[in-house]
Amino acid sequence: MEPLTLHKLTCGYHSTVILRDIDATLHRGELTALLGANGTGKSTLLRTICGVQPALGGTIMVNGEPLGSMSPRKLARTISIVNTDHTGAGGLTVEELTALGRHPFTGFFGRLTHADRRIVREALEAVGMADRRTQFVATLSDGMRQKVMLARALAQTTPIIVLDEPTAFLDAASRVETMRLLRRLAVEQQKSILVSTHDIGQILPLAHRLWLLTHSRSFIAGETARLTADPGVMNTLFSNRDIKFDPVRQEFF
Amino acid sequence: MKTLRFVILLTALPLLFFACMMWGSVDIPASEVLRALAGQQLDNPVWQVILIESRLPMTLCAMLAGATLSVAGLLLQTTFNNPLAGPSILGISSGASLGVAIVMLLLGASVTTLGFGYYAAVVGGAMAGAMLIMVVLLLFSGIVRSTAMLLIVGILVGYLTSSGIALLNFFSTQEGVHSFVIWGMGSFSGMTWSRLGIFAAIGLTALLLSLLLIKPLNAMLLGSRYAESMGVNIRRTRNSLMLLSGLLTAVTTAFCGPIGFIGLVVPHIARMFLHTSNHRRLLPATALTGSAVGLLCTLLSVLPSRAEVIPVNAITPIIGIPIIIYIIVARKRLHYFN
Repeated sequence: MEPLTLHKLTCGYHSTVILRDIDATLHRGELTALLGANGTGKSTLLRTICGVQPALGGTIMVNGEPLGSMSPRKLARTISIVNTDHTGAGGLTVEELTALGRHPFTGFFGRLTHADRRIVREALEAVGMADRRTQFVATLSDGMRQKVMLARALAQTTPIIVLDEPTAFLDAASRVETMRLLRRLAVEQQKSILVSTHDIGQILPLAHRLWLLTHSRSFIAGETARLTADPGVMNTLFSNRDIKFDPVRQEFF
Repeated sequence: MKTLRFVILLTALPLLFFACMMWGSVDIPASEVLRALAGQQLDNPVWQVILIESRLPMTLCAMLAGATLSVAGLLLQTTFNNPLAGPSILGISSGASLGVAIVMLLLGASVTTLGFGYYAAVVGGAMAGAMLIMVVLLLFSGIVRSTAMLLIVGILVGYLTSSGIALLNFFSTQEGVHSFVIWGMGSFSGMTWSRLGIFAAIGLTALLLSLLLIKPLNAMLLGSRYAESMGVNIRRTRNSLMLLSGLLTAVTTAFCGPIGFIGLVVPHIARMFLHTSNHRRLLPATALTGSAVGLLCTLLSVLPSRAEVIPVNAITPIIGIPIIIYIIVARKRLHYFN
């Protein structure tokens, strides 16, 4: 059974439909990139998938169970998120922040068991931040901070991780590093990772699959190699006709 | 290192407590204070009365008031993700004041007629006023997403209640105005054991309830979207945090007057002192630091003149404002801001 299946999903706000009749699947062990210009509904789609805003129509099945019927705790054990929200976590250590990921598993007072601590340690090792675990989050660079937020998502041990433009404020090196890390985690830990991004050049060689939201708000999903071989498909991403996709260089120019 | 800092805090408390018991209009030696606290009858009956009937309730009241206001401030700062939130800034204290003003000025009671029913009415008025402001803030927090805007709404609501209070003052008797003005200056003294009993019952219950919210408070540090993704029921958590901080503020305001700055400043002192934002340590530390600051204010209110007790609200800004200015200036260097 696939971790996440969208069937005829329609999303938007109240009566305003933004995306209509989306059919798509997230696969285990794969990195999927959601691409689209600003205003095409990337964040709306991600928020709907995360259960933050209700779907206007269609179904979202998570491990064969409808998302809408899940309790908040169960949902938190299924999907974790990383975004670029400002956090007031500077006064927490790297380890404390990562341990917040155990939230849906710990008891009323949030006390960590031995197993919880092991999971936190492994999550920090997976993102390469284990040697900084006693450091304050405030002392980290933006790139490292985003890695810790990712470690926190790993500590949440969810089969699905959704990232909304996680590299938006990072420098070039951290962008590449973060994207590579996502691919490695998807494969090694058999996670389904969905990431929205504008860094098309960096994500194309790494993503197994693409979800494209075109400028006319239609939805195209498929394997990266297949979609990028056809410049006609990639060119629907942007409304500006002067921006074209080069299938050889795998880049827009 | 972290435990050491907690130990320092825990030793500062009894020292301040003893200082408050020993010094005042009359200085009483530590040995006599200890004997009185141990329940022995002192040779000097005047000292006995001063210690047991006046200073001890005042000191305990100061500790409790400091703790409740500080914890209320911490809950509000985390709820609104805003380091400058506090019971007085959000208008909760002024809401409680309005409630008290209605009771004191409309019912026309004076300081000379302090019956139990009268105090129950004052507490009830403060609760109703604080909760009214809380409901307004809750309604606006649904509409206004930005926490900075919500702070401004709180400040504006504070002005509205002030104008209500001014009107009530204008139409009230001289006696009523006098007792309201005295109450408004803030005081930990003049506590009787029966009033302290009511204050402690409500205040300690609210403090214990706040301990139950440590886990969601930590998740809320990451902002509402992250907290929600980790299974926190945002609406319920936010509502209980606001109701609890309203209760903590209201009960203290009813008994001690609207005391400024403690709720805003003490959570910062505790964060800087303990070097953490983790509520598991921060929340108890904030309560203890609040108690220590309450005692310090009491000490400063009796030491300068001896004969008279200076109003608490004349002291809290002197302690509070330099700390707020330091926080604003040094915020790039303070871990918990970044």
